[in-house]
Amino acid sequence: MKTICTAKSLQYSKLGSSFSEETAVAMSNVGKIYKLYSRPLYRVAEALLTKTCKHKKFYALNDVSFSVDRGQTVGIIGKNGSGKSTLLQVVCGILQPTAGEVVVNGRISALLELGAGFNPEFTGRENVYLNGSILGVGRNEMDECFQDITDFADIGDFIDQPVKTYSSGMYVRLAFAVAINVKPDILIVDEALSVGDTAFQAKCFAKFKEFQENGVTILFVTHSMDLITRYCSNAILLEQGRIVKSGPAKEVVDEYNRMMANCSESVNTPISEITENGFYENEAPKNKISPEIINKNVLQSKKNPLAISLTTHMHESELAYQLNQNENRYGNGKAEIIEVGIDSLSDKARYSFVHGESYRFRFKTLFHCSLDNPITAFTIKDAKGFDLTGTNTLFKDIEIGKVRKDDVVLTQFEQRMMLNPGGYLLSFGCAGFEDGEYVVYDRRYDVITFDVISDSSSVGFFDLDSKITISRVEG
Amino acid sequence: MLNSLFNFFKIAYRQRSLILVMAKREITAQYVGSLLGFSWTFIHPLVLIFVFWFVFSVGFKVKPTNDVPFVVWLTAGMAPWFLFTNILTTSVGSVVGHANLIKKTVFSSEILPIVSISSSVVTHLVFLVLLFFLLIFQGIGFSLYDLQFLYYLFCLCVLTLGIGLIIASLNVFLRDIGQIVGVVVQVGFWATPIFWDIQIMPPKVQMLLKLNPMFYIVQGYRDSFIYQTGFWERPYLTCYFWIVTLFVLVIGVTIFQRLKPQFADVL
Repeated sequence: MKTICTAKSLQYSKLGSSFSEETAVAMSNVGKIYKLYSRPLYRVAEALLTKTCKHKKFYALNDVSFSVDRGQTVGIIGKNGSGKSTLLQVVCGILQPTAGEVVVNGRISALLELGAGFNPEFTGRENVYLNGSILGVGRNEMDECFQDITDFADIGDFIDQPVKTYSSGMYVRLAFAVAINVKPDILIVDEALSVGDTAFQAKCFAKFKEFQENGVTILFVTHSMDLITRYCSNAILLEQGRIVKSGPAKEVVDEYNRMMANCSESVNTPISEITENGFYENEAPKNKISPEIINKNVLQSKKNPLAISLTTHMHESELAYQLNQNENRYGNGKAEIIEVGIDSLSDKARYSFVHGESYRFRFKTLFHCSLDNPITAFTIKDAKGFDLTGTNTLFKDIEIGKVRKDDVVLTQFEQRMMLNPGGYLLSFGCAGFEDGEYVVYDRRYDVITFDVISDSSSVGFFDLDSKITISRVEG
Repeated sequence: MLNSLFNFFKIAYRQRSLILVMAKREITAQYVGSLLGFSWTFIHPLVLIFVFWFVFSVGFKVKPTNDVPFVVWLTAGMAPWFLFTNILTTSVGSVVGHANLIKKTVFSSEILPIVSISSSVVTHLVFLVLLFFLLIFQGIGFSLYDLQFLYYLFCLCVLTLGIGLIIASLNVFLRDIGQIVGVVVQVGFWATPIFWDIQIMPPKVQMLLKLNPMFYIVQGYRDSFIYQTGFWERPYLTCYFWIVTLFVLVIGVTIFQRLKPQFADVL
């Protein structure tokens, strides 16, 4: 079963043949333009009379090209409104592309929204059959897989209760069970899995694995980078309807994390206006926030003599960690983190990070104006960008108290290195509350990278330093 | 043109099981959760026919029209009109009402007006069963001509399919269509000789009234159940009806298929 859908159906067979049989889903130069008319009548007139009416254009997808081979699992990521769902809808044939060509090879089972096509008044059983009919599965075929569906959904007697009485977890379980048990060639899942509990998610991903082995192609949208890196071979990163990056999942996720970190600057953080004289105490009005100002801020701090001395200090240190050139830095500039470092507190491991030894993370904060009780913090992320651990003075009930302009505060965090071997990123931050609102003064994300080594192996990110006791018990 | 018509019926045929399932669901959805369930399909028309009988036979003692008790004559004409209204009012909202399916699943929206027709026809058949009892009760009895209603029912389905496709697709973009259909149905009831006999009009007006395709069907139902007249005995009207109906159907299919790609964009 091969479905080809083109913006101009004239091009149909000619282009369709350019994709190999191994291709499950492919798009070439696909665009989806939403025409925004000032009056609804214009849309009808244009569709019926082939006459162009005045409209504005919105590009939901723009020049999107990719191809997914049979059996691949591809994650689609991007910010809200970047076109992920539109992309899936175009693949499904729900939306017609305005330009380009879509090739789909095989039966699609799509889970675009929780229980789309479920009627809340009907029982689970009735809805399963109806859903099957919509997916093009006959009653007999449905009878065969009904047992599998109920087993997978595991909702017990609720199968004969109206769907409106279901919890959202039961809802998604049933919907998902139907979608995967109708033997699709291509499975499309949009953000639905996040509703199920951990046990169900594990079950779903076990099924994913099974699908992958059986050569089923999977496309799925999620905001969980963890799922992408764990289950997808490849990923596609969308931004404003365009593919920013596609390729091996991990690389794309890195790009996404970078993008998200950059975007949070302009959205969440008020940045003070910077003049040559230094920092104004007052926050700049929101509309003045722009990337230029942020760059200037970073630039300024790089020129800062203290910052230079900091780098020198790093070179003197013999503990093996690197200052990250690509740190993400933002803040309103009321304080400045000027000197960062890690010291080894153990004689055994003076030059490297050895699992189980003690280390001190430290940084100095220079304040550019008087502040009331600022908070200093650190966070450790793994190489994929997941927050693993961290703490701050607020959590630990430590009061820095009032600080004045030009005060320098040194914060030191001492702890045993319980992280398992691997590469990690350390971030420092200084923030506070002003009029009840959380304000970031300076935040240096991923400022330090370091590698932990160990001579024993363990599982996961952390070692809980478990004490194991074994005793033989008489039967 | 003919190609798109052919395509349309091909899709409808391929989706026939889904049409049945959805029609069944539409019928049960009306009564789901109610104690009497499907019995309501009987109760509504039963009460209506009883009221007609009580008002026109017992109360007003209306004179028989053409030697047929008025209540029988009225009910026979009313039956196809109810079906017509029912199909139009469900069709007009069918695409909008299934926005979830259209936007979130791979779904051929063409079948929606057919689903509306299928589910309405079931209710209609129940109504006709009651009409039969009324015929027997009023001493008119059964003849082979009664079965001719199937032909007129088919006529009605084709006509309403064409109209249904037009209004269902336009209503997605212009919600006024729903209101317009409501008004037209109201006016149409009185403009079609259902409550009154066309013979009371001057011949010129009669000609005009016969242009209404619903007149052909209302008259056809009465021909089948009461007058025992075959549709072949009305060749001109039959020809006229089919020309109009097929024209409407082709227009309907064309409009629907032109607008369909935009449904998901607008809903």
